[in-house]
Amino acid sequence: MEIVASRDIDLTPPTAKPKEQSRAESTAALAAAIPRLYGYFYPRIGGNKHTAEDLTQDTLLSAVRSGNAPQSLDELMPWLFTIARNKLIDHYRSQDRKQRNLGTPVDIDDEIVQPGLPDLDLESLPIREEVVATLATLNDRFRAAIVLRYFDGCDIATVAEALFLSESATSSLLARARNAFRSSWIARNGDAS
Amino acid sequence: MTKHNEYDFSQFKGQFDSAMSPDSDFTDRMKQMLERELGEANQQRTPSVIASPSRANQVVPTPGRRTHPLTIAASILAVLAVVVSSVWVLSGTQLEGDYGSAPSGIATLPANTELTPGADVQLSAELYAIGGDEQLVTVANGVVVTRKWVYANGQDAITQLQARESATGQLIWQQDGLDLDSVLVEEDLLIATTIKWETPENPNAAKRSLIAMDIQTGKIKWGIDLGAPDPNLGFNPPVAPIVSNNRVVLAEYNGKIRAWDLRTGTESWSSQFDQADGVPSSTMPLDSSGYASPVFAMTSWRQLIVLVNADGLVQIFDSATGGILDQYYMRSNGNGRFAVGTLELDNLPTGVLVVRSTASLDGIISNISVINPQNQETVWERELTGQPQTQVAEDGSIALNTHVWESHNWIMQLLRNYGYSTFEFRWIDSSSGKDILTTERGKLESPSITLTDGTYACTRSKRSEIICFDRNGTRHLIDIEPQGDLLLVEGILYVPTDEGLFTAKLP
Repeated sequence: MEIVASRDIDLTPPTAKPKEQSRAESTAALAAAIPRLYGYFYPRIGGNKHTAEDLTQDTLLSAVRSGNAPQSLDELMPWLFTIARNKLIDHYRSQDRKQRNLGTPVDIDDEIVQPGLPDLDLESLPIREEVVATLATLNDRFRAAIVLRYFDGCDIATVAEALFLSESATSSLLARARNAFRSSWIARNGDAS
Repeated sequence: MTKHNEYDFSQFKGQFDSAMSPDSDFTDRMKQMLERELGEANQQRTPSVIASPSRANQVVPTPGRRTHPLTIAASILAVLAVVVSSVWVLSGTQLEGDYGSAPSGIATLPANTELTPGADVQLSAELYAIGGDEQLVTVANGVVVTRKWVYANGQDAITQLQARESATGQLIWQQDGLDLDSVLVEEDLLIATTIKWETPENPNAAKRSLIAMDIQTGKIKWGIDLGAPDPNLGFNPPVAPIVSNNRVVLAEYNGKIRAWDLRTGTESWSSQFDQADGVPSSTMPLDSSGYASPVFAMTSWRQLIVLVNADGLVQIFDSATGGILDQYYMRSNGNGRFAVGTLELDNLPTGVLVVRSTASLDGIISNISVINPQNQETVWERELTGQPQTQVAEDGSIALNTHVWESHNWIMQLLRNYGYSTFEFRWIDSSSGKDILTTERGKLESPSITLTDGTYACTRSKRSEIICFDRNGTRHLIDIEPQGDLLLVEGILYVPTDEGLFTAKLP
């Protein structure tokens, strides 16, 4: 029987590091990040404004309370996006856990040939909004896979790590997610192929 | 399998990273929050606040929260409603008169007209511990356990568990790196399944475990290595553990059931939840890309372990030996597969509560029934519209929320407003299936709350208002916006918010 040991308990409450930047500079830098964080979350959670606000607020709170913010502004946004990515994955995981009981029937029919997506004019705001709306029609697992792989450009290994899957299972999940996205896109916009 | 290529999806990369302006009031609130937080951080604040008895009557101003413009108007309307009448305003829907109605469906029960709605009582929530971003894990044995992410410079986040004395808020232990999933408390032990990353360099070596932790000290008494997550099942954990006859019982998604001694972790027995003759098992591992979960649910009732699967198969095991004592099929909806939606079991004094939902052309239908595992009888059952969310109190009363997604008309859809969720809340006496109270279906912007401790039943009326009913129908209103799951324990409502963990004591 293996005992799963934890690390020694440290009861010392964490303390904040002294700030080198002025408080005004730190506030301004983090405030400037608000639209970028909001713009990161909004499309990735299917266009839900309230959830995007929640995740933005959570990210900023975590950033401030960690006491570990980089001093360099060049490093600040990548660091904030690291936190944001983890918040996003936690959100997907939480949604998946809540919806676990919904019992989406298994889509095992891979034999249907789906036409591909056309080249989209993603400079166009209505097209971008339609992509987000189509993403919103997918279940959280498919959405997570598509966002991490195609929006964020993560490799298969990174997506697998985030979703606790093997790489082969991740590839399979991505194929089904693409299928589902295409089906929904065509149902909403017609077959443009 | 048809080969797919990724080419047409690669066009998305980098196209959804543009800044977007949120509502100006949200931006203003964030700036105020940053100024406040950075000011406090410079004073080297400690993460917990002791809620001393001398502060018991002190009302902490309600924390800054996202205030939708409609919420301000709704708050004004709510105040007027309290002054003028005892009518409850739920997003424009009024509930008047009696709080009971005869449920429709299989069982015909008398309408409950005995309740007299009382005046609304406004309650305040007190700040229990500073520190947003915390999720409640459990409250038991005088201990409040929370979980949050902790970040370091550029490194991945780890989970941090904190335990505080419920009376004082004093931090008593803290643990990093344990990500608890399903949790229950039995006597002095916190039983949980966990996922633990081995090293940042090799996160795919994550291991699942079943642990028993002393809730007062955080020390792990024993742990069972459950191995790496099945890659075909993704991050779905095993079916939640239960305790029966001084044994911790856990079922895997493949139907294997094991039991360990509660105190020592010594394996007691193993068994298998198997399919009946000629019926395809619903417990086979499913492809990771689709899921129908849980394929079965498990609970303990007296000395029995009861499992029900999506086909309606009930198998009853002896908790001492793991031997199968009985099996039979519940009545199905006649469509073959019994349930494709929710499947939950709960332990009641009178039997086992079985909650299941099925998709139909008319939407999702919920069937709530109580079965007696000893004689295969169905004590009562009801059908309701919508996806259910339930909580059962120790006295057996059931809080039930049913959720329906309603589409907007085509005009609204042109404005990209496709629909909204509506919720109907009920409090049910499980001995009879009779409603203690019920509400009319109303619209909510946010996820619902479903809580009961037998004395109160709580739900959410607006994004920033929680309602707790007592058995007289009196509404206790708490103006607060929760973030994450709440707990109602011994008359105290624990509410995590962005500002910290708040508590509200119900009279």
